Amino acid sequence: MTRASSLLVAACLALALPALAVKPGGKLYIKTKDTKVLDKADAKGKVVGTLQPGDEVVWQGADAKEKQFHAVEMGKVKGFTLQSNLSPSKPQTELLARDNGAPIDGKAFASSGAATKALNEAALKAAGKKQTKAELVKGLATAEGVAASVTVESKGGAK
Amino acid sequence: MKRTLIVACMVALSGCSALNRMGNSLASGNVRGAVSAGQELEAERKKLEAKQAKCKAFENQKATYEEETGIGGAVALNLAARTSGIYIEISPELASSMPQAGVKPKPGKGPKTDLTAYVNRIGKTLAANSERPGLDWTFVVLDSTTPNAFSAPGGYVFITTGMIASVENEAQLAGVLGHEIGHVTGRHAMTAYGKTKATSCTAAMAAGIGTSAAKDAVNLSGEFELLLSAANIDLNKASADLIVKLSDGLADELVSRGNGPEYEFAADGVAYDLLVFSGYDPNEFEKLLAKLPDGGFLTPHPGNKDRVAKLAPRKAEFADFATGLKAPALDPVAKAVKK
Repeated sequence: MTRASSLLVAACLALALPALAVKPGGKLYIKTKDTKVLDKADAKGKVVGTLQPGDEVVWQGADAKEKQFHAVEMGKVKGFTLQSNLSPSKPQTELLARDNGAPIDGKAFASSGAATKALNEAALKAAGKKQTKAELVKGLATAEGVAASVTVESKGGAK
Repeated sequence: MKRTLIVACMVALSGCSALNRMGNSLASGNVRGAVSAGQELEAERKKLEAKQAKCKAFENQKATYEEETGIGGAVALNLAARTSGIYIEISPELASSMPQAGVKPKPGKGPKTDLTAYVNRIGKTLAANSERPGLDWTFVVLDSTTPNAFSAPGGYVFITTGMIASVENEAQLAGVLGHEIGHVTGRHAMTAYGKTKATSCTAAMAAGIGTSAAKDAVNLSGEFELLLSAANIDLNKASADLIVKLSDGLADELVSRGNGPEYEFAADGVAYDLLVFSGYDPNEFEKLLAKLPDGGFLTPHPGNKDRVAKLAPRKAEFADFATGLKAPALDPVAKAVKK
């Protein structure tokens, strides 16, 4: 195997499985707005700090008894937060090219007049040109409406 | 020499008049005129090659948010149109909360209602943990007994009732959605889109004059030239012809070739991560992969053993973090699909 092909294989493997070990001392990110950091692994604990989405924290491990509480540190803020407030990757900000790269909030964009979701102009133009059935367009627009009506629960998915 | 010039003319956009002049010159014995027309043909050929070389740049051009969501909506409709339809039954309560959709609820469907909302609750929870929580995520249920799931750029994820019927619990359902989220966050289809754009551009530039498709081809070549010189592309402002051309090309590519093995493995990895960080037991995803048809349902996928094997290192990576994870039972609305 040549050096070039070895590098290609290595690159493909790296693409397939990006390293994301979560070990004590590793970095994680806050995903929930106004995430409370408590002084103990208990919902009744005292709030020692409030973190925001995208904040990078050092993960110190799950509490031995209350496993849904995980110890985190960010600067002087040290304490426990719910596992569901943590994310493996820093959230990317979607940027609008037409506004010179201004960041957008997907939800805000969707609810603004710019999107009025229920499909973008490109999709509707294509549907018209291809004479896509009206009920299909309506169905997808309905699904978009349902999606917009669903809010993510801060306590995570699995109950 | 004449044959070479004719071939050159065939690939040149505006060379046919030059070919006519050359033919007329040769017929009348006007050698100088024929040479001049030949030189004109050669110049046209070089111009065409230069334009086509520019088209190649589309392959690696990073799409803007507007372009990604623009092609995403068009491809979402395109892909959905190839299925047996969207599962749109919703409860009267939900319909009344979104009058803008103008959908009349179909009462009396019992537990079949609100399935789309259930899938969106799971999907949007997973997406909130992804690299792109700000995308306008839409999870769509398709009314098809064939188990399948796929995605379109910009945040569209489709899952069939057949796939919902084939999962054993909510963690497995989340695994399917997480895999598709991985394709979107990784912008995997956008790689194929770049190639589709380059191929379509090259073909439009080379399209011959005098064919029945000439008018459209010339129009598209002009539009592609504008896109080549544009700093950013917003497909919402493009012609319907161009959008249809690109969405057809991309949808064909995704259906026939899939995303490719590297991207499938990467999407599996993302699914695993999202399950863990959303509180779902990722072992359920492995169980699901193991029982899927080898090589995928409809679009090509890597073998199941390889997919499961690629996930093995993740268990060790997440061993400390993945505590107290669950595999809840499916909601009754999903269980109803299984009947």
